[in-house]
Order: sequence, then C-alpha cells, then structure tokens
Amino acid sequence: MLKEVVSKLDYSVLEQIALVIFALCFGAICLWALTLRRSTVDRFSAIPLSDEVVDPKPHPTSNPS
Amino acid sequence: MSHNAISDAASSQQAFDGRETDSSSVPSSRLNPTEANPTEANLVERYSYDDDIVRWFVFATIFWGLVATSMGVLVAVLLVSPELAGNFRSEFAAVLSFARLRPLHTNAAIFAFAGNGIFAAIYYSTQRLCKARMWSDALSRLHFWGWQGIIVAAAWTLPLGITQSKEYAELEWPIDIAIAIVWLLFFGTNFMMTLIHRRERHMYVALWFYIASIVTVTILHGFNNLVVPVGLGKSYPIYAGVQDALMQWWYGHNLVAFFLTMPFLGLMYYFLPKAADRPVFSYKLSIIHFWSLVFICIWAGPHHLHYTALPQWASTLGMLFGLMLWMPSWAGMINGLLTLRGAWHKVAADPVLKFFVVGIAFYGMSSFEGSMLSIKSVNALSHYTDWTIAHVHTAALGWNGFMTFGMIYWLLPRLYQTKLYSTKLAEWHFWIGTIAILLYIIPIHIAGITQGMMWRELTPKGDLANTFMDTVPVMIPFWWTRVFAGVLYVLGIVLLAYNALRTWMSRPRTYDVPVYSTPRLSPGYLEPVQDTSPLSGVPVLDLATKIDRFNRMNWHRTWEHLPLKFTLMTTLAVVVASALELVPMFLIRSNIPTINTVKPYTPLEIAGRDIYVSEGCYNCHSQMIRPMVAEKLMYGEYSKPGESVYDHPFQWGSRRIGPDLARIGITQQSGYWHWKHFESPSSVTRGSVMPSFRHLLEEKLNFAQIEPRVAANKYLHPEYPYDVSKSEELAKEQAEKVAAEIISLGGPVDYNGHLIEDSTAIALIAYLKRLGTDLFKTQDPKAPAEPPATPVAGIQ
Repeated sequence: MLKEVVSKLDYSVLEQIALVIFALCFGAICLWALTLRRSTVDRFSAIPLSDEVVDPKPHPTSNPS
Repeated sequence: MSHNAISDAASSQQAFDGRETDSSSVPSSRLNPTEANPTEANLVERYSYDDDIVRWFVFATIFWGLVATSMGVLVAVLLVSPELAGNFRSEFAAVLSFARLRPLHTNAAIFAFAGNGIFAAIYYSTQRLCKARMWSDALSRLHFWGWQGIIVAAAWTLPLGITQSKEYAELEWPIDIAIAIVWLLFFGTNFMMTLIHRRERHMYVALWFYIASIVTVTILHGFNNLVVPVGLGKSYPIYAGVQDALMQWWYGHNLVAFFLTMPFLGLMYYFLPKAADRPVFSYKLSIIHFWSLVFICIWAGPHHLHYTALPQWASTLGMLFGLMLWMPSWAGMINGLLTLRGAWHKVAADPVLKFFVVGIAFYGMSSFEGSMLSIKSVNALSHYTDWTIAHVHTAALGWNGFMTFGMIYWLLPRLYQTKLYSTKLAEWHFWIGTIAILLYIIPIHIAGITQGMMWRELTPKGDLANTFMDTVPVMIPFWWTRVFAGVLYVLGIVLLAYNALRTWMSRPRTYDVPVYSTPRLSPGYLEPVQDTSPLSGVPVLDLATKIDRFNRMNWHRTWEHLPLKFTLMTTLAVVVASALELVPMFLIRSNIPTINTVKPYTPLEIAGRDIYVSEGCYNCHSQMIRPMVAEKLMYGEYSKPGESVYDHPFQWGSRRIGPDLARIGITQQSGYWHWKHFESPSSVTRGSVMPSFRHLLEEKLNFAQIEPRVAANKYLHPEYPYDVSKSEELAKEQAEKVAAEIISLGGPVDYNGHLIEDSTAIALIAYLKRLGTDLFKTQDPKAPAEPPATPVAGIQ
C-alpha cells in the first residue's frame, strides 16, 4: 500500500518544495541575524581578538646580545 | 584583554587539565553578572592549551603538502609521457600508471594536506575560542596517529589497485571503518566534549563551521561507503548505476563543501581577524553565510551529473541550488576581504595577510565559477573536459593551499615561541605560489574550453569536424605548462618547509606553557533577555507585541549556546535536504526505467569489470554518452538509466582523457584489437597518451577468486541467472572463447609462459566486448515479458 502510494507520487515538484524550504529558512535566519543588537554583535566578533597568548620571543639571531 | 588573569604559574611549565579550581584569583567584577553571586559560579578554573598537538598537525600538513603536490607533478608528467613507466619492469610499470596514482594525488591533497591543515586550525582555535584545553589529550593523539595511519594505508593500497573507484572515496572498506572511528570517535567526540566544557559562553561562528563539518562529513562518509565486502581489499557498493552516481556526487560535492570549504571558512573567520588585528567585518553576515551554506550546499550534488542518465528533476534541483551557492559564497568572500578595512597597508608588509587575501580571492573566483558550471548549458561544454580540472585547482591551490600557508606562517612563531626564520622566504613562497597557480589554471582553462569546443564541432554537412584523437595533441602543450606550474608550486612548499625547519631550530629549550584562569560557566545560566518591546504601551494588538518579541529571537540565542542542540539542528538541516533528494531516487521506479534486454554480467565479465575498476580506467574514460548530437555521432546511442542497473559501482567517470567507452562493445568488437591496445596503445592508436598495460597480458587471472565476487553480485541481485558454484567453470569457458577469437585474428597462443586464455587481460576484454551491447539485443521470446515502468523510446 505504502509502496504503491510512494511510487505514484510526482516528484517533479521537488525543486519547488526545496526552494520554498530554503527561502523560509533563509528568511528566518536573516531576520534573526539582522535583529541582533549592535553591542552583542561587537562582543561576539571580538572573541578571537581577546584570546592572545603571549607575544613571540625575539628571534635569537635578530638580537645577538 | 581577558587573560590578564594569567597565573604566575605560567613559567612553572606545569600544565593543568582544567579541573583544578581557584575561587579567589579572578575579581568578581570580571565575572558575568549572573555568575557573580552564586558560589559555584565564582569558582575559577585554571588550564593551559595543548599546543603540542597543533605542532604535530602543522608538521604533518607541510610534509603531506610536499607529498601531495609532488605526486601531482608525477601524474602530470606521466600523463604527457606515459612511456616513462614503460622503462620499468611491468609490475613497477603497473604501479607507475597515471590511473592508479591520480587517486593517490587527490586523496593526499584532500585528506593528508588539507585534512591535517584543518585539524591544526581546529585544535589551535577551538581551545582558544572555548577557553578550554582539548577535552582529552589521549583522543587528540589517537586522532593524530590514526589519521596518519589512514594516509599511509591509502598510499599503500591505491597504487596496488585496491580501490572502490568512487572519486575521493576510493579507499576500501577496512580503511573506511578506520576513518569513521578516527573522525567521529576520536576527533568528533573530543571536539564536542571540549565545546561542552568550554568557558566562553558564546560559540564563535568559526566553531559553527567546524560543527557542520564534523556532522556532515560523518553522514556523507557513512552513506556513500555502504558496501558488501568480498575480502579485505574488495567490496561492491550496495547501490548501482544511477543511484550509485547520485549517492557518489552527493558525497563528492559535499565533501568539497564540508571538508574543503566549511572548515577553511572557520579558519578564515578565526585567523584572518587575528592576523589583521581587526574583528570580522560583519558578524551578522557571517551568520547568514553559515546557515545559507548549510541549507544550500547539501542539495547541489546532482549538478555534477548534468545530461547523464540522472532524472531531469534531480539535475534541475542540483543546478538551482548550485547557482544559489554563489551568493553565500560571495558573502563570505566579501566579509573576509572587508575585514581588512583600514588594514590594507598591513597586507603590503605581511606575507600572512597576502596569503589570506589571495586565498579568499580564489575562494570568490572558484565559487563563482562553480555556480556557473552548475548551469546546464555551461556544463554541457565543460563536463568531462580539463575545464573541471582547472576549476578544481583554482580552489585547491588558491583557496585551500593559500589559506593553509597563511595560517602556518602565522602559527609558526607562536607555536615555536620564536620569530619566523625568514619573512623574505615567506614572501618568495607567496609570489612563486601565485605565479604557479596562474600558470596552472590559465592554460588548463584554455585547454578545457578548447577540448569541449573541438568535441562538439560539426562540419557544414553535420558530420563531426574532429575525432577524439584529433583533440589530444592540442592538449599536450597545455599539459606541459601544467608540469612546469606544478614544479613551481612544489618549490614554494619547499621554501615553507625550510622556513619552518629553521624556525623550529631556533625554538627555546623548553616551551612556555602559560596557565590561564577563567571562571567556570554556570550550568544554570540564562541569557539576559531583553523582554521589553518598543511596542509596549503602543496601541497595537497583543499579537503584534508577541510577534515583535518572537522576532527578537532570544530563543535562538539560548539554543546557540547549547552545542548539542546546535549540532542537532545542523544535522537536521543536512539530513532533511539529503533525504528529499536521495529517497525518491531509491523509491520511484520511473526514475530508472528497466530495459528487458539488460542482463547481469557473466562471471568472467564481473572479473573483467573488477580489473577495470582496479586499474582506475574511470580516471580517463567515461561510460556515459550524453544526449547530444556530437556525442551520439562520436560514440553512438546515448546512455539510458536502465543500462547500468547491474553496475556496482557505476563507472560513468568525470573526465575524458581518453574517449567514452559506454558503447565500446559495439564500436570495437575485435578482441585482438584490445589485446594489442593493452600491449602498446600508441601502436594501435597513433598519438595515444594511454600507458601500456602489458602487465595485464603477463599476469595470470586468479579464477578461484571469481566465485565470491559472483556470490556478492547474487546477493545484491537475487535474480542473478548464473550458478554461483559454477562461476569458475563458466569463466574458463568464456575465456577460451575470447582467447580463440583473438588467436583466430592473429593473436598469440601463449604469452609470458602461459596460454592467453589464462591472462588477466582476457577477462577485461570480455567485459569491454559486452559494454553497451545489451541495449540492442533482441529479447528472448521465451522469457517472461515484463514491460518497463516507463517506455524507453527506440529500445524494444
């Protein structure tokens, strides 16, 4: 029964279904991203800049003393 | 800087695993407001980063980078000078063939060079973005050694012809199991547990790209490698023909997306701001970039199969999403390049930024080109030509290569705690590498377009203007230019290796292992929610206020902090898209109309097909005639989906260094011609660049190995008509007939001390003589009639 139903489905509309799913998700994500507060975004984007370890030591050959 | 609280213990060389706590070393004012009060939240944990593992992966990246690119130069030379291998004994010549070594080059470039590169990036950045040491040092080391072991296994098996023949998934099932264990169990577990134990509340966007990569590669690898094993070195995929092709290019396209793009974007979002000392241009854009890629990439695989026997709906779906990929890709490129706003003056002086800028530019170029190539009419010209090769190398050499090099040059002084040995050498590497890429991609693009135009050129009378062999000599100068470009690119990596070696030599006697202190994240933490709406007090419906609150999406913010839920959502996006694309192909009979005259291969033909796979013939020959005038004139009737229902794995190929073989059983029926062709291709086809396959004539076929292979085919197709227990006997009978035909046309009776009917080549010839013939056979009137689900014009 299920096999019959599935085998008779018209899958030619898959492109459209896929496009609609994508458009909905894309719209929701854009909405969310664009409504983020400026201060929040600034805090997030600064994360990689606040994890510095230590400055490299000087090269031995560059400072003979 | 958040690490002002670095403990004095930094110089003690003592590493902490993150479990030691100290409630007094961090002032409460630095704690998150919601964590400042509870006693538990005041606990400060001390930890150090595991940079040893990053050093190992950086070393492996440079080493395998040299191997992968040198192997590329070797196969480029073998392509233009196939006779080189002929100078060796036949068993060595077999190993030194372009078709066996090309997969080694691609696997080494993808999994060894780029793979180790992304692991170095992930291990370095994840620890810092999470403010946590990797969860398990043991898993990190198991990951490193396990991955190197897999690469060595690949380097050992591929030249021996042990392959599944699916591009970038050539490795046989025991190695596939090892990959699954190392990737998911060692690497994935370690990464996810580090996220769970992190001390930075927000998961920076680079981590999202890593999560998507780990999840999706696991799914791709698992489904594309479902096989029926016959022995340790041989298996048959459970899929056949069209289904196998769709599964393979769902895998192939998304391996590029989720192994060669997503982790490198994570790398870009972490290392570029570090190198430029600027935050990313737009964090909002990076979010849109990420989710767009996750939603779009997974659908785009079928565009690798335009005009093949793939159903039209799948092809259109692939084109549509392939085209859409252009926008998020360029969003990423623009975000990367604009991160350098106000810092362009640094690019002139800093080789790291130079590598990053050019790498990102190549990302933009190759992703734009990829979207264009997914358009059917463009793909009709480009498919099977060198254009695809040029496109791939634009991305691999420019994007993957240069981003990796930029990262390594940035890491070297930090990992080895000294200055980079020579900035000038790094500059030289940059310029040599850039010239090498241009010298590669410009001629090979021209070669590919020329090839495509020549293949389709018709005379005013409507005949083909060129034979396939007319196009080969035109390619040779371009292929030689590629050899030169490859040598230059390798030279650049040699400079990197030397620079890294000298930097390593000037490292301190013992590395400093700084110890950091960061408050533990409170498990009960809730994101401060801005619950006030600007619509409060405004005379609007309650519904409007609710919608406004929903649109603030604080729920997403909470969810985004939860790595497991985030991973689940990413997985869902990938799985839903994959299922919508793949499941119909497996369920709907009309996708693959059956052809009554197409029958399973005989035992000898199965053995011959396995040799075809093992020798890597698919690397140069397609088995897919597209429904185009020029292709039908050149090769014969176009290929139908029902013709490859017994093909485990499919052999449609992706390029034509040699002509298509889908109808070779019709166009070349002489077994003797094939025999002579294997012995010396250029003596039969003037100007051929195919190497000699003399070893196939000299080696004896192991008839005893045929039965288990036939049994596996019987398992996959219960209707298989031959008696499995008589496989060896049936194979010998057919081999005698094939050999008799060769001898009757003037071929030798024996070769290398044995009768030719025992030669490996006889099985391969039997397979080739069968190819493409079933379509034109007349159905046995005694056989039960079973009409195809969808009539196929001109077949019955």
